[in-house]
Amino acid sequence: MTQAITPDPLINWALLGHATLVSAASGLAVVILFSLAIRSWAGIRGAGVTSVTRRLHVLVVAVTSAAIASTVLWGFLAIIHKAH
Amino acid sequence: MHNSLVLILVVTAAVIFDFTNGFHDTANSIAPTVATGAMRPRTAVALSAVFNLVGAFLSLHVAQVIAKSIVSQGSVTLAVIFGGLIGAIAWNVTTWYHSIPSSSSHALIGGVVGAMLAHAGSHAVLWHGIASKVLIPSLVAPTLALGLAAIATITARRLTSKVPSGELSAGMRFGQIGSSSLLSLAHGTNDAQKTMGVITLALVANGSLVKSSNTPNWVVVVCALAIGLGTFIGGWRIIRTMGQGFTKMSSTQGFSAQMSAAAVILSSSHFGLPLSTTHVATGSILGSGVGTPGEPVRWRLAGRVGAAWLLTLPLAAVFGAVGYCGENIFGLTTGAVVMGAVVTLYCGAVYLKSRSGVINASNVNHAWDQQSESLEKDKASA
Repeated sequence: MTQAITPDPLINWALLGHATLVSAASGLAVVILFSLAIRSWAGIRGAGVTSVTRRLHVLVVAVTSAAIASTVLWGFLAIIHKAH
Repeated sequence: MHNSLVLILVVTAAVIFDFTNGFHDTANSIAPTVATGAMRPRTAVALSAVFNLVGAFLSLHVAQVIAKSIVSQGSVTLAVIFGGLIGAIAWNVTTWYHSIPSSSSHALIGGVVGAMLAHAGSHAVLWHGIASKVLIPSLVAPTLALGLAAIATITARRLTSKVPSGELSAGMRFGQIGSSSLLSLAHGTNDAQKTMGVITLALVANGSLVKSSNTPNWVVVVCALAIGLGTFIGGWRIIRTMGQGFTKMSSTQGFSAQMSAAAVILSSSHFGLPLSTTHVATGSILGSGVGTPGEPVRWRLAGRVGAAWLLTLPLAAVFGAVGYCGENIFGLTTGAVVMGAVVTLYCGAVYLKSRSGVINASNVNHAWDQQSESLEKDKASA
């Protein structure tokens, strides 16, 4: 009984699609979060800002910072996971 | 077959290749950081060296892309490995002299393929593997990075358009320190591992190590130190090309480029797609220029770099084949010594020639010579 051997495709489109999606999502997510954090940081330090707005800016900075830290930690764990 | 002298020469060549890999690829992680002034040049290369060193120690399994996917494992000999390594070193030094950011991994693959062609002919080269693991990724990687960095730059600029420039610059520069550290760590885990794999392969081919053994600790330490030291020396010529040559970068562009590159490299590593960090970093820097309306992008320079990428495999293969044939002319041991000496002399001559136009930490950020490069506006983003 013979088995047909299918050669690996030159391009694994499914894998490429996954990698592209994850790259785009994670890269854009960090850039957007960091930009929002900078905008809110500038808002906290700006003159003539009400206390409510200032608190809102502090909240945005805290949330975005935590999200960025999580994403970077994911990147670091991905490196470790790949290494072992 | 035991041949201690040739094995020592192969290990030495592998460590030297690792060192050239370090200084050749420093730019991938820190060129935007240096260009935007986020860190002082010397501090940036020191930080990158530390993260490359740490990355090399994190990675403890042997990368077998070359052994499994590029050439037939049964045909690998010490002479082939040595020929491939000296071919890759010669190509790395040549492209460094010409300030061209080319892939060190492709140089190593080209060198080994050339040596293998000279040793056993084309049947010992796995052409399908070269197409799927080397050629296609080299087209996909820069395109993906360019597109992502362009979108990231446009998004970041829009979101921060009302932020005072001083605070924006300070914030983005802070972010660049983190993104370049992440890139350096990823580079250390990827590239030091390749040299560890080559040395382990040589030890097995020489009969000094049992097949399927783990990488010896001394190999890990030596490779980590070599890539870390190479990074610390800093390939200033290439840092200058990537930081100043392609486009004049703002800190927003620098952060967007580096974060996009880090996302592409880490994601592709996670999914097992072999991408060149050099191709990704170059694509993302170009993308940051494309994403900034009115910012000139030097497409002619990008075209020259692209041409060098196309030439890396064939020319490194020629260097590798010449190295292998030189070994054969004089016999394995004498030939390896002679070809090692020839490559050392070549590298020394290139280094001495480079002294006439030294680029270092003090002048790496000087304005790009606009008379020698035609500035072309990015019509797509205008």
